Amino acid sequence: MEEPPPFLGTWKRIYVSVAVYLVCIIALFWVFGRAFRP
Amino acid sequence: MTLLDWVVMAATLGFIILYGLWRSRGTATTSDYLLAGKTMPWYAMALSIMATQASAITFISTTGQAYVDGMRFVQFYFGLPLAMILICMTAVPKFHNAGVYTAYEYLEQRFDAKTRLLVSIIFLIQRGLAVGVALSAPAIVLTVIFGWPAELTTALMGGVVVLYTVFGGIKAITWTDVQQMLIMVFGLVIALFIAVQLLPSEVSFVDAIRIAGAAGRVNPVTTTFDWNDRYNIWSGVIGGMFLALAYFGCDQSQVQRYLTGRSITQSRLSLLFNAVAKIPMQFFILFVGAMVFSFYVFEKPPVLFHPNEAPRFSGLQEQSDGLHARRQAAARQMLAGTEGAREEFQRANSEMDALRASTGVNDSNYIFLSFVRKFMPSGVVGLLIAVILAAAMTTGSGEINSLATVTVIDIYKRHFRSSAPDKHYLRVSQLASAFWGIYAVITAQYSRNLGSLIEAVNMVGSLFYGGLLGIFVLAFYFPRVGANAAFAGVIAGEAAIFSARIFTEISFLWYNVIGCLVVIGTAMALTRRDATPQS
Repeated sequence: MEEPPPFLGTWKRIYVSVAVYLVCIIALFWVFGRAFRP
Repeated sequence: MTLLDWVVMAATLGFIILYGLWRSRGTATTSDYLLAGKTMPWYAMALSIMATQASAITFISTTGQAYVDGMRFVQFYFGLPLAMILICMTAVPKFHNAGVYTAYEYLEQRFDAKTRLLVSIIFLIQRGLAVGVALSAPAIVLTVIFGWPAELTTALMGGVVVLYTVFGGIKAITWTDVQQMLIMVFGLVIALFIAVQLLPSEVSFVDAIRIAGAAGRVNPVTTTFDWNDRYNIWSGVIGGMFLALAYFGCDQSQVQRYLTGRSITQSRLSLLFNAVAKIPMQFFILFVGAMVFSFYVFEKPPVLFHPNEAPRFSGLQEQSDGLHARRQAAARQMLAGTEGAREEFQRANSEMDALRASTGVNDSNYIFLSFVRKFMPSGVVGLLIAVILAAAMTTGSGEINSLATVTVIDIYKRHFRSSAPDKHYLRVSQLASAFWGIYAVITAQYSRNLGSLIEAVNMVGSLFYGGLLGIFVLAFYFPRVGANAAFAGVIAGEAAIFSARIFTEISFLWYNVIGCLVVIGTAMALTRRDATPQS
């Protein structure tokens, strides 16, 4: 039996959250780069 | 360096090392020495994993890379969170449940002894070369700051690392990494704050970003696809993911960190912390480099920051000064909103870049240190040098420890002496640490002229990681593949990577993808052939 994570209930939810975070941070960087592009 | 710098540096380094050694007291068994008795909490493992990567190379080379090439290097880490998820799902529970000391021990359980031996040797070669690069970085620091011969500084640094590693074991290494990581973040914040403070009073923080952006230094995402381009979003997400999978899933220097965890949950949390924190941290380090660039738009830079190479090109300094004056004037006009000033700024900047490039010298590793030495206030210089030295020591000691672990567990204990008292293996582990430390010092002597050190480390890793990753993917996901097919797959994968390196211009980030796919393809083909009934 797999030990549950200390937050978000299941490991699957944590993995999905990390993937969404990655998409958000790339989008933020893209916006940042566009705002100060040459 | 002032007396205050020396005091700050000595106190910081002394505290980090003594704290680590104090936390490692009671190390009496091989398990304590190599796996910290599996007692580490997730936050210590998480910071230790980050600190191992955030080495001295990260500090001095990445900032210089942002100065020269902009922030696009951050894309290299875009695949890391995806890799962490996959490793948490597969490698962490597999390794924990197998109860192994090393990742390669698991390969014998899954395949056979020869596969474990082959992969162990590949790791020893690859990590043995990289540890030399890790040690050569602080030698550069000391050479620039004190003018000492690089050979002597490498030997001195290596000597300290060897002593520390031999007596500390992984528990000391992990706890010193925690301190080092916290101090490194503190040092970076101070460096950024002072770099912005040093700008002319009429130039704001946002103005500094606009200047760096106009010069193409604020480019964290590049969407254009090019096989030969090292850093774009595609090579970052795909190539970076494969490299991170190999690094965190198959490289003992990382696997050993999360094997020290109390449980699967603790190990997973440490990796997921890295998945979240690594990209912002790299962005921040690159951003410091971009701000140093903006600073030098208003402060006359040398043609080259390399103190030993600069005199050879002193004839170019006058031309550089003229271009700097043009660039500075255009920057001021650009900030004032003058029409056409932006284009003039970019022209002058391109000409300065071309002038630097015409020397043929890659001095990116010297830019940040030169800035620190000349412009940072007393005390801060000592702190930043201490951070760089501590980073190098912890990275070096961690790598040496993992090399010693593989040498003892996968080679010595497996093939030479399998049933000796635990005290014997503890002593052999310490001797192996000493051996690899000396080896690292020797290879460091040859790694100072490899260009950007951070790229050199990643390039060396990419030559071997594809093969390593391929065999672990086979072990985890392809239950029908047997030992002989996996062994042949690794040989074919490494041959493919070296062919790509020698005969093509493909960026090294793709080597991991190529190597991994060739390993899997070869092993699958051989498995299918063997399974086909002979007529």
